[in-house]
Amino acid sequence: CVEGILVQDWVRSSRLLALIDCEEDKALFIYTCNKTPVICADDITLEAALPIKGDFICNIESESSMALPGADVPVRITTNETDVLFELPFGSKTSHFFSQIKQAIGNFLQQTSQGRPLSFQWVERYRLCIEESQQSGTNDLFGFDKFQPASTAQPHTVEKTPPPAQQDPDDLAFEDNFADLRVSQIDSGSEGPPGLSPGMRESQGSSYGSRESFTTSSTEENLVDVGSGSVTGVMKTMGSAVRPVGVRDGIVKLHMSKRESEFTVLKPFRIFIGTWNVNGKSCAEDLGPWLACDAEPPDIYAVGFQELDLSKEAFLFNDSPREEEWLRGVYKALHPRANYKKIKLIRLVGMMLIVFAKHELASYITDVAAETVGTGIMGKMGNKGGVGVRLVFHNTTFVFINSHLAAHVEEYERRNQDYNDICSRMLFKDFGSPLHISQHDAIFWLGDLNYRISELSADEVKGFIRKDMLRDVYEYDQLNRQMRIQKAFIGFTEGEINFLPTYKYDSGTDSWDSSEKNRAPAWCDRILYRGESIRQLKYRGHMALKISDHKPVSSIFDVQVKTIDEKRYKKVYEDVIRQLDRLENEFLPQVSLSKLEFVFSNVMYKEEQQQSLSVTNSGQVPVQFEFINKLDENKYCKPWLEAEPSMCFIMPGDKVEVKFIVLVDKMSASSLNAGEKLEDILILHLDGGKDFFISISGNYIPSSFGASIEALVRMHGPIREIPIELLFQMESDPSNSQQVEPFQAFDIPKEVWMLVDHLFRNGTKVAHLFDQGGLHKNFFVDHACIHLNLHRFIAGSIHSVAEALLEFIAALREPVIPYVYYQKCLDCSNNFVLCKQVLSQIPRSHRNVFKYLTAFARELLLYKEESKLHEKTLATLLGELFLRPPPGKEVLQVPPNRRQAAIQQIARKKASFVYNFIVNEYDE
Amino acid sequence: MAKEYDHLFKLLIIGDSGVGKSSLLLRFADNTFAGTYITTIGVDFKIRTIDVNGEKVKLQIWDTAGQERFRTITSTYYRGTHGVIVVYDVTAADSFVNVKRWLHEIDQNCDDVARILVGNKNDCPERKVVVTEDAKRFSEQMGIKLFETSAKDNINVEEMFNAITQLVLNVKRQNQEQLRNRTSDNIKVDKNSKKRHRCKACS
Repeated sequence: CVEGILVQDWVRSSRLLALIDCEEDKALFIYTCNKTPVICADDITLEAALPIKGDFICNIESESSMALPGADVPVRITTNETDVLFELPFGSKTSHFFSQIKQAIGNFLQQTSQGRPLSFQWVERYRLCIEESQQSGTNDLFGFDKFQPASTAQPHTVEKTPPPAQQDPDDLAFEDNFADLRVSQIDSGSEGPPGLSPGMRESQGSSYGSRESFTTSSTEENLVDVGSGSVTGVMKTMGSAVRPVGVRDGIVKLHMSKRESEFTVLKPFRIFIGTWNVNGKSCAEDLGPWLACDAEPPDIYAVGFQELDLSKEAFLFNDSPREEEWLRGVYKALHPRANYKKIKLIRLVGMMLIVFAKHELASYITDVAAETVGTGIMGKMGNKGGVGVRLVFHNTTFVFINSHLAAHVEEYERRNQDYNDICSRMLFKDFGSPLHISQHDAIFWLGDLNYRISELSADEVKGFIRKDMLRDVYEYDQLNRQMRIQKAFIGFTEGEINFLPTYKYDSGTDSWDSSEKNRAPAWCDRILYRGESIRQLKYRGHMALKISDHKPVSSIFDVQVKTIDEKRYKKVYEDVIRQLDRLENEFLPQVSLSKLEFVFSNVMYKEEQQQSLSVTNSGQVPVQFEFINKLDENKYCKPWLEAEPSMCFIMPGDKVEVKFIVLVDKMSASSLNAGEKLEDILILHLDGGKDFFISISGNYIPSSFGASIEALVRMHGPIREIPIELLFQMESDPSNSQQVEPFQAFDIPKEVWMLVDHLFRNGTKVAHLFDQGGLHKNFFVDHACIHLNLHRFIAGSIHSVAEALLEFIAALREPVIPYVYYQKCLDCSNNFVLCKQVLSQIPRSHRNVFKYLTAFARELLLYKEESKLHEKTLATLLGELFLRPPPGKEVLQVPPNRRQAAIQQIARKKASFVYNFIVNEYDE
Repeated sequence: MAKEYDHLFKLLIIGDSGVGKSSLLLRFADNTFAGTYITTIGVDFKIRTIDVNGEKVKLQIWDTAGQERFRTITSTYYRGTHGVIVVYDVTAADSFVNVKRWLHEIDQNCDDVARILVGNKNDCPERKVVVTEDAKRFSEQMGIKLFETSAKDNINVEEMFNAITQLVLNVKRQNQEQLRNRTSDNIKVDKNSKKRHRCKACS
């Protein structure tokens, strides 16, 4: 299993990928991580279940990222419905997971070729679950639709590898949770515990009866005990956090540091470093000879002490009165020719480090932090170890480490180890990623490092020293030797030692240790440095201070510090911001369109026209486009138009064809007949980017389909021969006929007469006249006949003529029973007298059509035997045609549970209204 | 830790087709100028972060289609806008005449928005037909700042965007101020009513 991060619009979110198998079938399950790290099943929600079958493709994307070892591996997963890119962390787990998927695909192909197609019914169940939960809105992360177009995802893989020894501890914990869950589930009966993700609930809830569910859960068992060879992955990754906004800040910093030299000027500053092991003594001596023995006052002091307090309290509670005492002592003794401000003090038991800076420089010191590392008893306690202070001075980073390493002559390897421990464990936090000691420009390491003189006896050492042969003694110095063989302090430099060993003296004197132990003198107390542009000026011991058995050591450095030129800084900063803005603009979604204007000429009723638009992702990021609604409209286009697809996801460089389909049907014909133009503007919106306006236009050839009865009865010739303005006028004001009417109006539209006449002459004895849909092709033939008003033989099957009649009636601009009488008719449908009354009120031409068609129905019923028609069937059919609810009243205002019943009731009323007129002779 | 920005403002550029709206945006965001004219069919935006008195202001600048036939659609994009830049072409009198309509459009679609008037293509004195004085008089009448710019020669573009940003910032400040006053007023009212209550109870 793999844990992943899905990246959408720069926002990453975790995904968990799991390969689940059920007997032979395998599927890839994708979970969203509601919280990281994933601890229990509540933390994940099933987002997609992709059966591994023929359309499942899983490939490693481009070679570019593979070039970098350790970079995330982009893996694209495609099925018929999905196309997603994940980035899986580089490593054996990913490659194992990947190979498992490959195996599963191979397995599918093999099964299919052997004629045993896999059904994946069990997967379907999960998919239903997903749909349900997404509809009900419980899964608020985002629907799969949205997920699908998401750009890249970066799962971090935690593949289950067979030998359990290789598993991460928390990996195991994760599976333990799964195991626990399963147990608790079974305890609690078939109802899943609340809060289980749908997928989980499904797999568990159904584990009672069905065989396949059982195997599913046994697969999960495999999670716990892998090794058995059955494929299973569960992934979990958590790792890379979601990092949206902060990203840019980091990038700015990075760019600024790259161009540092453009806005910084090197200026030398003087640094004083001092170290003294005070052997637990109180501060009873003037420190001036140590701290203020130079003519020039230093800019920065870093003063370290060891064995400041040897009391048990200090060791156990890290609480010492000596801290304050020595701080005051140091403060008093700082160079008198300058004022200093304490920047930071840090102490761990007896190790204390204080950093001071000249008052006027303090404002240039930022990002100060201090840390401690204990390496003493048990490797952790603070009796030995190090304390450190880091800071940024102008634009140069400094770190000072004061350490007290392991004691005793023979323990030099222990000292090396302490050094290494401090290096690896000393991490300064709060600066984005934790900073190591080595990540600083100037590093100063001071303290009682405790390295001694090897191989020489105390007397030999003293002998050399008497003869002023320090250099010879230094040859035996352990630190010198360890550094030379690169066992410790790699990269550090130490100045030449021209002072006497600083250990061990009889307290209060300058004479060597006179105790029984007669320790050999050694340079326990040292100052090392590392970094470019550091120049050591002095390195010395201070014999004048006598209270301890060590002598203090100090060193003076000149450091070239990068100071910021404000003007140049601002310029570079603005430049960097500008570049980033430009980059951000470049990374906005971008597509190029083949065309922005589409003209559909001579569009005819029910004759579909298509044109296509190619949308090419010409930008650098994946793009999702969608046609969006214009203000106050509830669809993105007019009813006679359709864009296919209306929403799509395109990878950079890819192209998608969008089809614009124009089709005028009975819903849209009336308004076009009445003069509405065939015009629309579509808004093609790029998710997170720009919008394009696409103009669609054309001309519609008016048709008698969708015309009004009033207009039709006034047209003696074909509708196409009517001047368009006159037609618009007739359609937009059907009641006002007088002025424009050159002819006596027909009783009924001639088209109705033609169709009915044809049916009457040829179709009365044809069975199921209205039941069987005529062939679509024939319909168009008839359709053209009506358009052209041909008074001759109508081609095509009788059924398609019948269909044309129904379509014609249904398309009438105003139904046979005008909208205003709709409700009245329904209300009186069970009373023939009242029905007749209502009918007598409707406009004459409408009434004529009604009478004509019902008479035709009665005629058809004379041949019941042959036509196989029945009164009720016909009544229902004509009821729906004659009685259409007024626009805006199509949706019934009843609760959903009663809707079905209400619809049926209205249909019955419509039918019974017409029925009255079919079974009864009717005349005015 | 530094934030990416202190303010995020949406600006909208409107005006007749061909006055140079896209060019102004391109000059400001990418510091480029394309000699060829491509009509904007749709709306596009670019971002740029600028520094105003030490505050980082991220601008999301929307460039709209100027063509008449898109007028109703483009009006949707006024929503959420903090500042509107009305552009005319100093070499085309019509575009200046239409400024009134564009200003009306703003009044119809936004309430509390900063506005600025920009006469673009101010780089060729021979072809200039909208004289500065007329434009100035008009802009003063309408209470809007006027800038004459050239996206082509990069004249006054930066200044104009800085000015509108400053205006938007002012509006934001005023609103915050008003909000603060209103809330403190409310508190006062509350106190008064309480007092009155007590008085009634006493009497």
